[in-house]
Amino acid sequence: MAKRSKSTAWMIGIGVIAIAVTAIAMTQISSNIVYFFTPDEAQAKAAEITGQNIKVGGMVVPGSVEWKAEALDLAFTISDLKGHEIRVKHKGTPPDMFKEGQGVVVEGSISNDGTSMTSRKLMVKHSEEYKKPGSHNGDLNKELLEKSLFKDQVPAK
Amino acid sequence: MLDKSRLSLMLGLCILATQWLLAWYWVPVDDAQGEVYRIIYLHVPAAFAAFTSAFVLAIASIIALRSKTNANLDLSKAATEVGLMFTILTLATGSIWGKPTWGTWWTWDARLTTTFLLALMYGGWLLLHNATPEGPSRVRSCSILGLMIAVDVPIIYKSVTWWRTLHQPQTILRSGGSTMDDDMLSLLLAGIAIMLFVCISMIFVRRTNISLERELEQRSLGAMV
Repeated sequence: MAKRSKSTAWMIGIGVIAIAVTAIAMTQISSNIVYFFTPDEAQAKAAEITGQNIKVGGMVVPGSVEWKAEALDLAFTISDLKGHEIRVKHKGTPPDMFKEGQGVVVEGSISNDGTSMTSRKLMVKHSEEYKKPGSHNGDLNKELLEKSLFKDQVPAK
Repeated sequence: MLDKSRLSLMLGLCILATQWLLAWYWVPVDDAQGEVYRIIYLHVPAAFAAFTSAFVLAIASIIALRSKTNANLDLSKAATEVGLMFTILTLATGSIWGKPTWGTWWTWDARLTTTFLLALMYGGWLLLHNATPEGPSRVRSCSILGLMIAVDVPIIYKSVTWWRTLHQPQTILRSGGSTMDDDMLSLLLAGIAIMLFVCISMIFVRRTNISLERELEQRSLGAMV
């Protein structure tokens, strides 16, 4: 009898752990299902989320990067390639792979009107393309990034 | 003391060393990332080994659940230990790779979070095994947890297609073919094959030791009584 109740206790224990793990996984994952907003989504709800710490993912618009090395001031524009653009201000050296046309995820706060962001953390989202020097395919890289960054973009109402 | 699994492990490690030399000196650098991308030849095989360990754990758990008499968890424990090691290796190499390329050691995106969960669950399995006395209830509870761990693997694998992540999507198994140059891809596939061989050999070497340990304990216990 003692044995029986002990194994029952263990089964309950396992059940509790299982539920806890699942619950943590669900909340952790669901809050990260939207790991970042697209520029379109962020702009649509800018007034609502302004001041909050949010992540926005996009492509660095070619020709938009301004880098003042002495002041460590970086400014650039991110785009969803469908006409939604946000100007980003960042203090500090960008990651090595940061460049024009690259994918980035910017963590920071968005302005009330959704046109600019102050970045706290700048991360590069590169594509899954690996090529030897000279055989790089710029179009494929762009296509892959676009697909990965904006794969489930909900069109703003 | 050289049984088959030990021999195959030693052989596997030798081939693995050769593959690493090729990864360092033979395979071309990546155009976008430069030299740092070479860690892929350790990171991706380690991840696949961590997944394979979970697969072995699932099979061992089903066998243990079905054969109620005299069931033991030697194979499950070996797979869990090896799986934990490879998961930690995956997280560590990923982190080291992420700093120079992404600009961060860690972020809570779906791929990284579910992989971290795998490490936690492997660790949890070992804790559970350690905390329960030998017997059918331990076999049952550990086997159920073993099956739950295996469920995490397809979630990790598909996380980059299901959710927005910082982690890049699959390179190899994707529609439209691989996005890697042929030289790089063949070395990576070879690396995965070798690492899986090493992983399976490790599991069997470890299982032999765990079984011996358990038998010795039982015999010394018998002698005392």
